[in-house]
This record gives sequence, C-alpha cells and structure tokens, in this order.
Amino acid sequence: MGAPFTTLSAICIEIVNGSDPSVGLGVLSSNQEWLKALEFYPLFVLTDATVARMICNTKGLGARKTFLTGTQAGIANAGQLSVMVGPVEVIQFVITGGRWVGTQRAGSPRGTTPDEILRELSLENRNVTANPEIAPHFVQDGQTVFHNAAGLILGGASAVSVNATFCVFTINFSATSCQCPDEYSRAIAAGALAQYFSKDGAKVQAAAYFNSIFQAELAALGAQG
Amino acid sequence: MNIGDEIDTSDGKGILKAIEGGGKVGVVEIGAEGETRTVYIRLPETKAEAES
Repeated sequence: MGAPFTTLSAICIEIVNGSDPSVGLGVLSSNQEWLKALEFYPLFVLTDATVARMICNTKGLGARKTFLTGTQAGIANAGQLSVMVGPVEVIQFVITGGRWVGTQRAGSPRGTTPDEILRELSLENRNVTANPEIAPHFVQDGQTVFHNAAGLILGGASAVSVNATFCVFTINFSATSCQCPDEYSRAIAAGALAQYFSKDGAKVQAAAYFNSIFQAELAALGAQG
Repeated sequence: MNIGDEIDTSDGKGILKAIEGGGKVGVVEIGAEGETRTVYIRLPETKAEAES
C-alpha cells in the first residue's frame, strides 16, 4: 500500500507553493482550497494508475515487485494469460523425467526476428530427432504465450507443466491511497497537478511546469515516461 | 488412447484434449471448467509402434 491521498494533497501544497514565492512552505494559500476537496482524488487515482502501468512495463525495476501478484499454472501452448500488465516476469517449466528434470526457468529460442523465433519454437516442438538437449523455451506475444513443452516430451520428459508470474494492476476509483510504492508519491502528486491545471486549456504554463516535475521524478526513479 | 479419455497425470486426473508430436504427446486438461490447467504428457506407445 502506497501513500494515502491526504499525504499526496500535502505534497501538492508544497509543490504549488514552491512556484509561488509569496506563500510559505506548508501553508495553503487562499486560492488553493480546491486541494482539500475530495474531487481532486480521482486525479490521484488516474495518475497512480499511469505510474503503476509504467512500473509494470519496465522489466527489472524493483518497484515491479509490488505488482507481481499474478500467477497462472498449466498454460497451454498458444494459451492466453489472465489480465496482466507489461512483460511476463518469468515462465517456469515443471518437468518430470528427461534431461531437464526439475523446475526450470524458460528462455527465448534462437532467432533475431519474431518470425525466426516462432519458427524455431515450432521446429523444437516437432523435435523429429527426439533431441533431449532442447531447453525450455517460450515466446510472449501480447497476452499469448507460446512454448515448447511438447518438444521436451519428445526429447524424453514424461510430463511438463508451464507456469507464469506476471504483474497485475486494477484501477480502484474508491481508493484513498496509492497503489504505487511511497517513493513515487511526489511524481504522482506532480502528475495530478499537471492534469488539473491543464483542464480546458487554461494555465498551460503551470501545467507544463508540474508535468516537468512529474517527468523528472519518473526519470529519477527509473520508470519509463 | 483417444481424445476425451480420462488420464492420470502427476498433477492429478484430467481429460485428454489433444494429441500432438505424431501421437506421442498428450495435452491433458485438469480441473473444473474455467479454471483448467494444461499438462503435457508422454503417451504410451501404440502396439504397432512398439512392434515396429
């Protein structure tokens, strides 16, 4: 669970006052009462969702762990994963018998283009020479996963099950706190301000200023904007 | 062994949904409708293959 929206409102006050030298830090100026209004919360929800998707789409980012709650066991070749965001974290083969017995992390087949890789996977699944050295491989194409479990059976395994771990994110408009980790709070606050100020094309310069804070925060935290 | 047969796997009992790999690989669906998982198993050789 990330920062509550009350904390984000306080961060917004600091950011807004930072661009207004006449108002002291931590003091809400008279024309910023809107920040107290609950109607601002949906912007936190939307910006939190945007940042969460950026995190989920950036494989290798530590914050992805927050959203790595999706698992699916027993995936068929060309089967579809449940609702997930971003690239799959890991595909594991649970193999009984044969050269690759045990739980194995699957890699990508050889090839440089998507067509070559999928063709290689098809050849591995045919495995006409019953080659036991063919390793567990998979290809993710959107929500669909292709794998070579059949090829491993032909290579000597007696049973193969394919499992996946991936990121899941569900937007919640009744939320009162962020789903992103705490370190993204300033980014989310600035992003929400940018959306608010750019409403109806008014205060475009202010919106651009808040958006620049939003982008700089995301870049510093490693999420791809 | 035919499609639709019930098969015992290391993951539990399931239904043989498809046969691949020239008749050597069975695709078995285990679990209730909507929550099924798929296991790939080696099918026993047919009598004709064993004798060839």
